[in-house]
Amino acid sequence: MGIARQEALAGYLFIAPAFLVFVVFVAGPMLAAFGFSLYKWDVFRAATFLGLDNYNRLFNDKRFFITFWNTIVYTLLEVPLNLLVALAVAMLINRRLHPALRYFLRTTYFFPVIISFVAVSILWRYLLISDPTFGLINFYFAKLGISPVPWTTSSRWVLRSIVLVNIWKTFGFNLVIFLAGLQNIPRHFYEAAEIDGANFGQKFWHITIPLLTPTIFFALVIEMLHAVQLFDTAYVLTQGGPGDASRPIVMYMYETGFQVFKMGYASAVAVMLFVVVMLLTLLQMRASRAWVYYMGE
Amino acid sequence: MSAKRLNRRDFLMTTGTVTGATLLAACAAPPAPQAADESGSDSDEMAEVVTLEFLYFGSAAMGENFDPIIAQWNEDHPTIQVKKTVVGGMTWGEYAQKVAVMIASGQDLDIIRMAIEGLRMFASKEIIHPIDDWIQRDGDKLDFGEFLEDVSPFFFEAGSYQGKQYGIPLAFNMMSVWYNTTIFEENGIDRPADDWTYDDFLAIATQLTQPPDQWGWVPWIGWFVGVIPHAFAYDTSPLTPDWNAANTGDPKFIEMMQFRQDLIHEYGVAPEVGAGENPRQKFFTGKVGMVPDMRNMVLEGTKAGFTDWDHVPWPQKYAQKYEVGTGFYCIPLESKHPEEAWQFMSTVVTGRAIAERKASIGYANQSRRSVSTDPDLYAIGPTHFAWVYEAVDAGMAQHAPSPPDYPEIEAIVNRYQASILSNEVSAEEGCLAAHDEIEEVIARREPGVTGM
Repeated sequence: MGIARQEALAGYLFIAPAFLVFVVFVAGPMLAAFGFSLYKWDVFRAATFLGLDNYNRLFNDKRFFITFWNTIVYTLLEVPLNLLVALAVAMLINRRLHPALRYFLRTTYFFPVIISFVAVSILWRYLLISDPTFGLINFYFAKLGISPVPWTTSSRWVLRSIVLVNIWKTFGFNLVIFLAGLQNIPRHFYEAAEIDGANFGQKFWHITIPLLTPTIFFALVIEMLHAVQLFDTAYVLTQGGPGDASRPIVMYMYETGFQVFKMGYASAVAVMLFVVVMLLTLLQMRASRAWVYYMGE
Repeated sequence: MSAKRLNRRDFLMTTGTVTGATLLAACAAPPAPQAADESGSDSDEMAEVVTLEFLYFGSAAMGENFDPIIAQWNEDHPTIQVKKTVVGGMTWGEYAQKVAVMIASGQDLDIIRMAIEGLRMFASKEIIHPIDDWIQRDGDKLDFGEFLEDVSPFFFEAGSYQGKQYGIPLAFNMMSVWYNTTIFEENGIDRPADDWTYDDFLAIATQLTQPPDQWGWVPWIGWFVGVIPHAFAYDTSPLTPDWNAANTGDPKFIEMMQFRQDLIHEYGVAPEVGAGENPRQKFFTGKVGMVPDMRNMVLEGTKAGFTDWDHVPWPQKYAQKYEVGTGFYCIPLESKHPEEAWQFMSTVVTGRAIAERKASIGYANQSRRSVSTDPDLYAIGPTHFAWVYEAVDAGMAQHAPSPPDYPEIEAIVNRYQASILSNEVSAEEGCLAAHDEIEEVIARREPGVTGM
């Protein structure tokens, strides 16, 4: 066996475990979902082939579009707000603080990330009870003379409540990413700008942001993928209500599959979600060429 | 032999073939569950030890109540051992869905605790055993025969589908109005009469409401705990009496939902609640006069140190009917040991087994009349308890509607109920929209599937 062949074989052997895991646990189920989407199947009895009927039904399903729209609205609210909060706090922490204080703040903000979504949602469910007799936040609002906010009982507020909870829960992750990105920006860029008389805003817009774009892009992609998969918080905090006002597409998919056992239809929803997420990600990748700046390129 | 270089193309072709095969497999019809092994794996001559998988629904504390019975059984039956798994922290409907998924994914289960909410779904999908032959065979055995005589036929009716019996009734819950005895006393209000009306109820709720410190009533968004007890009092239901058609468009149903909306937004005697909020926990704070609830509140309340309670039958509007949900033991069709499972099930309902878990009896209404009316066993919990079984015997109990498509119908009603109680839609608009959606669900029933 030639050296080139041995090297190739070694390389493929090294990637084989990861590749196998990908095929079995990612690609396989994805393909299976595509297969199931062509059937009527309730998991108890043999499936019936429907062809594309599930997809036809999907395009006439009002709730599919409502829940999809909820997911889009949530994503458009949560992702930019989350990144803005994380960036703002990262910049505050990145200032010349005592290392112990910086470590403390970083740990404090990161702490909610390690708590499960369900535990966080249960906790917030109690905080966000709309009635000030039982809801802690509205209780203090009432003390301050502020009208109670119908956090979970009004369709105007309910998605915002989920956004609030999820930003509290996850912005610490982006904070750490931004902090790492900020610390990678060479100091001499700022020193040179200061010599030229640049103020804070100029340094921020012309040095920090451009050099942070790869980090922002990474955080944006990851956060968007998280956002479109919204499930736990909505399921525990609002159960998708009132009505369908806070029901995301993944929850609709779960309910269709595991509560009413329409696995074929739920798989069709999953396939559509996959297509949309893939298109969005490709769009982001393509658009990134226009605004992401990599040092050294 | 010439060595062929393994290049990227070869690798991709190989993996493409594997992936393609997976795709083909995926596109093939998903498998139907295998039929249970009729011969049974325990037919060997040797005394093989059989382990029965018993799935119990309830809190860990309630599950522990069964331990003495199981320990005794395991000692008495060395070749039939019972292993209990407790599942809790969800509604009966969610539990039924979980069990269905467990069975579909091939998990071994021999005895499952099931409520009326899931029984017909399971029966219609043929995933639990009809038990008529066993009841017939063992009906004249001393202990089991005594059990059959002691249980109201109402509870057996709850466990039947299309004329076949699928579950042994174990316990039940009746929705009633639970009130804070201290708050009632402080406000000079006596225990309402058993035949009190919605006008009485509204008057008391109004008197007890002192926002923001105290509410007269806290509603519950849900099927069993929310909409059904009110519907029965209004002599209506979300489904027709045979559970074969939608009925939320019924003027009485709309009137009932309007009243529930008005309790919050017109009369101001109840707070707005979000889906998933539980009035029971609010009741335990001592800031609520009355809540809709059931006997299984007793365990939670006792643990929380709250015992300022009593309960009274649901008030009447056009009818004096009380909602009941019954719990059963069932045997999955996939069980490899149905005979042994039946032996266990028919033993734990006997008088001896009941005596063994005497301390925990009062945490639920037992299907046995002699137990449910025994003051010794019901010393914990509210003072008044005997009226519950008396109402069953008097024909005032009515089964919670639970057709085979219950999960889907419940979800529709709960969705619109939340919107109505939040004043997002009018009662009429919500009820009519729910009506149309329920009709669509029922129209999609498989041939041969009926409501009850």
